[in-house]
Amino acid sequence: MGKISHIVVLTIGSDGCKKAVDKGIKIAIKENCKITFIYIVDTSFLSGIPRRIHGVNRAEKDLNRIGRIILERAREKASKKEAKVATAIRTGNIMEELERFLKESKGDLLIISSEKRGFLDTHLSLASSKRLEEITGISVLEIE
Amino acid sequence: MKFSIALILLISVIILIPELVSGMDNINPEIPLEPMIISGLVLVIVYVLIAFDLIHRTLAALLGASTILFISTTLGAFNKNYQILSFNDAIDAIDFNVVFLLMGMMIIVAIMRGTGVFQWTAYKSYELAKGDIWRLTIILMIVTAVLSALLDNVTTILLLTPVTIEIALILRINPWALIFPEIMASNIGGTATLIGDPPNILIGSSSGLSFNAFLFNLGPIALITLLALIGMMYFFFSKEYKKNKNNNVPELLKRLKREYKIENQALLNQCLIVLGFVIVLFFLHDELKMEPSIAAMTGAMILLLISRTHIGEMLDEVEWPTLVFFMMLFIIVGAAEKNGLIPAIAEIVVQISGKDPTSTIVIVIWISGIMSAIVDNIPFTASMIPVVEYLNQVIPGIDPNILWWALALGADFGGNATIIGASSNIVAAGIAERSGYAIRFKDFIKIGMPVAIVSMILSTAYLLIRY
Repeated sequence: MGKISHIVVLTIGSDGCKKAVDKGIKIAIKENCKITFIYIVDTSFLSGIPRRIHGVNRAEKDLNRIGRIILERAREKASKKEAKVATAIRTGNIMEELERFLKESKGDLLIISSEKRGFLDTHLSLASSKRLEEITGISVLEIE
Repeated sequence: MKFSIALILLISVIILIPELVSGMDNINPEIPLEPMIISGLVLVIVYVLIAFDLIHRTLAALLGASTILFISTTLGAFNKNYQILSFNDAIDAIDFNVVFLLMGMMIIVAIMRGTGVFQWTAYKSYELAKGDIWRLTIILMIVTAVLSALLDNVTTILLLTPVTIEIALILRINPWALIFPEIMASNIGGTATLIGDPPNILIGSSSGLSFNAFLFNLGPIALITLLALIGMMYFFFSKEYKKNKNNNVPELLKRLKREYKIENQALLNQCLIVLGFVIVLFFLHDELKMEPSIAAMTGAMILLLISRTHIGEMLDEVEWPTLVFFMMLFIIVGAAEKNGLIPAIAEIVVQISGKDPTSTIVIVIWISGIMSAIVDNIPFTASMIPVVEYLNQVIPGIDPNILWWALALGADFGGNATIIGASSNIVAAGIAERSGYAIRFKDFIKIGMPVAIVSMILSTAYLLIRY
């Protein structure tokens, strides 16, 4: 791996993600590079529920707000250690949104948490990480 | 894996049902076995499809009902033994009181949701709690129970849970400490009224029991169970509840006030007036000889008129898949009932209980509770209704209503045991997972199962002591 200029950390605020955040901050300080924490609002678990009647659209807004709190926590941590930090929030399919963001932001290291049978594990399995590496051409670091 | 298990189960059922039915010695010999076997097979296949989530539950019910009607009108044209259910009997089997009641309440809830009142209620709960997490938990449990008793559980949980998680994250406590009490309170609150939970709507419509009868008979046990729940939640999460000493309450209140305000006060006023009117009609429907569905539909119509909602938008708001699911389910259960399968099952219950009222009550409540934890409680309740009707006729000296209460309590409280026991459990778990606090199947059981068992024990004692 060459010089890292931009680390992207995917988080949903779980214990595993907190470890990924810590690892990302550590590398960012060492490499003196930018670090971005991203939260992706995904409401696929509500697919069986009619969108209008139960206010699923509203749930997207609410999850967005929760995502911002999670990102704020990560930003606070990074700022305390004087890392160059940014946050991003996206809505949609986790894999697709992550691919898009990595291309847009020109990230060169993605850090994700690999929790056994966890939410991110379901959406970003090891095979997906390899696929991500192939598609975006950047390194993917999985924190267990 | 899931598909393989379902397939093995299906094949076993297809092989075993004809054997079981032909081996039953309580079957009326004048009734031909073919329609009973086919209607039984269809019922079980639909159950398996729904339980293993192989296809959408509405599609499963549509498949079952259309199979019954197709066989009846094709093979049945040549051999009377395959006339499982005529088209006219199928239409008669649909309980339109249930369908219209659901439709009316769906419209009222959908319009009310747009006012932001659900989220505002969560903010007000925090304000009332003055920053004390334990007090907030109790208030949220009461609010959720009341909302779920009057409106539907999924909407209540979907709209309250995110605000609750936001509060928990800001206060740096585990959101489980607030979400679990909400989920459990929602299922318990829904038990208290005729409109609180779909099984109650089904039971109310079939038995003719009024809104007041539900409230006066199930309300007290729902309240007792809610009190027990408060104690149980403290036992599970007391560490979290004690964490709230150093929080900046005014700052959080300011934030919540800004984010969760009433979005349309005029519409909210209209909704509250109409909802109040509908509830008054529910209280009076027995005296007025008015079906509860008429009250709900009238309220929905008035609200649509005064809120000037577009008719096309209004029809979009109706959860059609659920209504179709109910209609098809009535046809499937109607076929099983008409062809003697359900009376045969009821006869097995009679034999096990030895016609003893106490044993029958215990069997109905616990079987309903266990089944509702495993399968969708709507088809289960629909299948159990004719069984209970039969039991009411053959068990000597039994209070005619007590088995209905046993069925309702079992079906409603059983939903708390597992994550798949109620739709609202799945919704809350999904939101929690996306907030970094995943609730897995085993996590849910650790808290839900004790709550369900305590609820069932309390319900059994309540029924046996009170009646």
